[in-house]
Amino acid sequence: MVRISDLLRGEGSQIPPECQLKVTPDTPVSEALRKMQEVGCDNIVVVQDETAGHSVLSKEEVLSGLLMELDSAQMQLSQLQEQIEGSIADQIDIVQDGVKALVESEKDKLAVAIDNMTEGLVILGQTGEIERANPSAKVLLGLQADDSLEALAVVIDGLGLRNMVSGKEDTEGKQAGGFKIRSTNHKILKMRWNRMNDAWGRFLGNVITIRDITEEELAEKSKTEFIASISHELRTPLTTIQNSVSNILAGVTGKITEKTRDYLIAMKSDCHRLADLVNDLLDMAKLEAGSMPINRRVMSIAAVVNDTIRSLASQAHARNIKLTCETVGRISPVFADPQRIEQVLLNLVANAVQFTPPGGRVTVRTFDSGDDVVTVVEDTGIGIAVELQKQIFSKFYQVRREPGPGSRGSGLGLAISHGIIAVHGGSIWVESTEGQGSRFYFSLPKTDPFVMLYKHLSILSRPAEGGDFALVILHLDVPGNSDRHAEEAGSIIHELLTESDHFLTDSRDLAIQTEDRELVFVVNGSTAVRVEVVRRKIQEIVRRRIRKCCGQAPILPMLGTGFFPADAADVRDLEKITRRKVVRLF
Amino acid sequence: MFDFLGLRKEASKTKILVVDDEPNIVQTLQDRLEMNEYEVVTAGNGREGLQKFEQERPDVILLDVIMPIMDGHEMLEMLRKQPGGQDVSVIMLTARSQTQDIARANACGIDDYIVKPFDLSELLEKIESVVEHRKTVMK
Repeated sequence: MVRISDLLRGEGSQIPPECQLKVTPDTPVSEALRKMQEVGCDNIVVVQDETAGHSVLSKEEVLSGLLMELDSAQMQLSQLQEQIEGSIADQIDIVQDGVKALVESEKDKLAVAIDNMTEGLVILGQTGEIERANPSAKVLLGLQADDSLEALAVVIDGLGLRNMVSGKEDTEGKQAGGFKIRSTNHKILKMRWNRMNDAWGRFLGNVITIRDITEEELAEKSKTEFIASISHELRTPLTTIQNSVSNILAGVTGKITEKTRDYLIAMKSDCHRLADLVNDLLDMAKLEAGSMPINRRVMSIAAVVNDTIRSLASQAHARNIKLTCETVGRISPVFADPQRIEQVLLNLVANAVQFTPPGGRVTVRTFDSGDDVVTVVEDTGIGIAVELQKQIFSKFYQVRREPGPGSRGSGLGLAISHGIIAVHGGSIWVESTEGQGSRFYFSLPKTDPFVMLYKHLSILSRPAEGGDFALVILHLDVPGNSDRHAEEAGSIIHELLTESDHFLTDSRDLAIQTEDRELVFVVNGSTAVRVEVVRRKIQEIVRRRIRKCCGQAPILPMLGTGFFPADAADVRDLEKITRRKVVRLF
Repeated sequence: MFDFLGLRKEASKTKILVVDDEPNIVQTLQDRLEMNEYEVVTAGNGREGLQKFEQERPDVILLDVIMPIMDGHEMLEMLRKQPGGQDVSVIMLTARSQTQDIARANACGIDDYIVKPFDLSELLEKIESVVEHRKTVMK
């Protein structure tokens, strides 16, 4: 605070007479000024002590003191401000440092955690670049822990992983996926990728985890091997017993009495039952271990239905049951294991025949239902109570335990059927009314014809399958674009498809409709001779049909043949090359 | 016209080599095949099977899959590489009904296969048809 004393210049001065205001030197300037205004005088007399005398200060001088005070106040204010700012900055720094340290330590912890994971972790950015990878990922993929991300990128691209991840993202909008690979260092790796989105759903990239499942796979394999060896151990003695009985019955040991024969026939039939039980138990074990081998092929359900009906015809006839089958419309082929599907059908139809009283009917119907091919086994049998319908697909469940139909099987048939259909990606269910009959349904997913074709071709191209085949593409052009001829062409395709069962003699041959008026035939193990037989047969049918349909704008049959591996060693190339070779059939 | 010494019959007999490690099964097979006028030689594993093939030059081999020392697949692969090994007919006796087993054997060329436990009359039918096929090919 500025006081009057700060304004005094030391020497005393004359006191003007009009001045009546007296203050002491320690009066604050502001107070002196206020008093001057109150009194209304322009000067003040400063009363100092006796020795120094009096001093007179003008109003201007007092005002200048006030200015000094303001200056000093301002200075103090700015000092204060600086102090405050400084301390706030310090505080902010402290907080920032703290947060930084915290984040760093968390980040470090996360980084350490990631780097110490046994699983491999690779983070891909939005454009697919590798943002981060832990040492495990590198080691699992056969690199050194300290190899660069560039080296890892080469390996990952070699596996087609980046394409796959980004491809899936574009085409199907999938959020995750996974697959198994065998690494260069003979490890079995399970790779899994997940899309990363932030809280607002923005795409950040993908995270790939890699897990070494070699040991799990080995354990699984030993389980499967155990099942295989048990199967061998159980069947070998059965074979000896069966063979011995058969030999004695055939007279290897000489003449036998009628009574011995009766015993032996009973033994033989029970040997069959035992063998069936062993088979059922092993199938169930395999399904539960997830080791049921499924050898998928492009197959026609209708063909399997026919085989099943044929093999159960005598059994149905013996029980006076009318066993028939019907297909509704055109049925797409499915990609499945024909043996296993036949097993399911045999089981369902045999059950139906067994549980239907004499004079009844068993019908097998197959129809196309959009995405699936559905087969239904319908009987006029005893039916299943509603409360039991859910249980019948579980293990060891039998509708009747007392003597009578159904008391003899292993009780595993429906559970096995359920398992087989499930591994094919289909479903199985029942509709039944007690006393009226049952309908057992199973559905198998249809596949895109080209996907099926390529799957089939890639199986055939394996060396174990013989490794050579031919592709025959038939396309019916309708140059006039007339509806009538287009329809006729469609009908010719249908006839060829039906007839192909007769002229495609190898079980691995295939006829598949890829477009409205296009058929692709796969002729397996193809010597040119086999292909020529197929070509002639196609020509014969097409010629007969086209002659029948007379008109100005005829149907132009175009045909091309390509041989694997002579024309192309890649199945997709083979299709392209075969298409290029398509010329007029006649 | 008359075959007093039975020589002609002996000469026309089809020779079958049974390769299986189960003596009981081998015995029942041998008894039945001999009753059906086949000449039978036997071996207990793949290696012995290859030796017997060298010595006896059979027409047909009934070949088990799972055997100690050398299994059926290995024997088949080696057999087909031997001189004369392509001409012999092979029927695989497999305990597994798995088709991959069959596919592997098919790659080496087998004439037929039968899944254990099998019916002997069914096996005899298969042998007969293989022998018939050989006769027509030979002609």
